[in-house]
Amino acid sequence: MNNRYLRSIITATVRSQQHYLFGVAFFRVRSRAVAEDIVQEAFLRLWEKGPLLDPAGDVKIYLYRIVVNLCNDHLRHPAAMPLYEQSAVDVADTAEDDAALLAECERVGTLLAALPSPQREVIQMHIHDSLSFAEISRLTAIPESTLKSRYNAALTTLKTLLR
Amino acid sequence: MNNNDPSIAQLLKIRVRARVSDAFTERLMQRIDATPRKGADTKARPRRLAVAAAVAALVAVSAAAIGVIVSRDNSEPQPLQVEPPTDTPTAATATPIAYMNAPLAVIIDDICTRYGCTARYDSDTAKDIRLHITIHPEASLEEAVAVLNSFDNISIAIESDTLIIIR
Repeated sequence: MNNRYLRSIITATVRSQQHYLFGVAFFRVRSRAVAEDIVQEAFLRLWEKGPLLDPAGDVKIYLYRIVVNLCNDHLRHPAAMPLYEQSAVDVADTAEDDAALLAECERVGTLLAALPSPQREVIQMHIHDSLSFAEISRLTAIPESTLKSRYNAALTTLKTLLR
Repeated sequence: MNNNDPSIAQLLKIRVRARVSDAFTERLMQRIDATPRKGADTKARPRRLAVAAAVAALVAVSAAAIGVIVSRDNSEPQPLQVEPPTDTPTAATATPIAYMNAPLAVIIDDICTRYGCTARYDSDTAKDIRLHITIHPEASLEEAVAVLNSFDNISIAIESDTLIIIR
C-alpha cells in the first residue's frame, strides 16, 4: 500500500473528525491541553495500528472509543500521565473560546449531575457526542430499546427538576 | 412540555462550538509522519505474501532444475546471460486523483466508471456534498470508498457491484 495514499486517508480523517473528538474530550476533561493531547493520541493509534482502511466506516467509533477511554484514564489517574506531552497551544488565541466552552460545559454538567449514571451516559453520548442510538448500542452492548427508555426517563427527570 | 418537545434536549446542548487550536493539525501530522504504520489493515496480506513466496520458490526451484538439465545437455558451458532491469511504472510514480471541492455525485460517477460498478442513492442530499479528497489510482474500490466514508456525513456501502450511498 502506497504510503502517500495512506497519508491522504489519515489527513482526511483528521480534518473530518478532529473538532468533534476535541469536543468529546473537552467536555470530559475540561482542559484544552489535555483534550488536544488525548485526541492526538487517538489519531496516532489509528495511524499506527487502527482500522484506517476499514470499508465499514467504523473509524469514527474506533476513535471515539479511544478518546473516551483515555479521558476516563486521565480522570482516574490525572497524575500518572506519561502519555501527554505539553501541547504547543497558543493560549492567547483560544482563551476566549475556552472560557465560553468551559462555561457551557459547567452549565450542562450541573444539569446532568442530577441524573443517575446510566441516564447521564446516554444523554451525554446521544446529545453531546452526536451518536445515534444504534451506535451507542454497538459501543455499550446495551439494546437500543433500553437506551431509548433511559433517554426518555432522563428527559422526564430533568423536566421535573426544571419545573 | 413533553419528551418529544425538543426544548429539554436543546437545553442540554453545548452551544459553543469546540474547535482544536490552529497548531493542532500541523503538530499532529508531524507526529504521524514521524511514526511508522504497522500493517493492521491487511489481514489478508500475510497470506498473500506467503502464497507469493511459495510461487516464487517453486518457480526458482523449477528454473534451477531446468538449468541443470539444459547445462548437462550442452557440451560447452554457456556464459550467464543477465537481462538488464526494465523500468516499470510503480505505485510511487502514479499520480493521485485529486478532487477539489467536487460534488459527491461527480466523485461517485468517476469511481463507478473506473471500477465498473453502479451507484444507488438512498439519499439525494448526499449528491451535493462537496469534498476535497485525494484517491490513489491504484487503490481498490474498498479503499476508495473508505476515503469517502472517513467523512462524518457520508456513509457508503458496497454490495457486489453496487455502491449504496446511504447518506
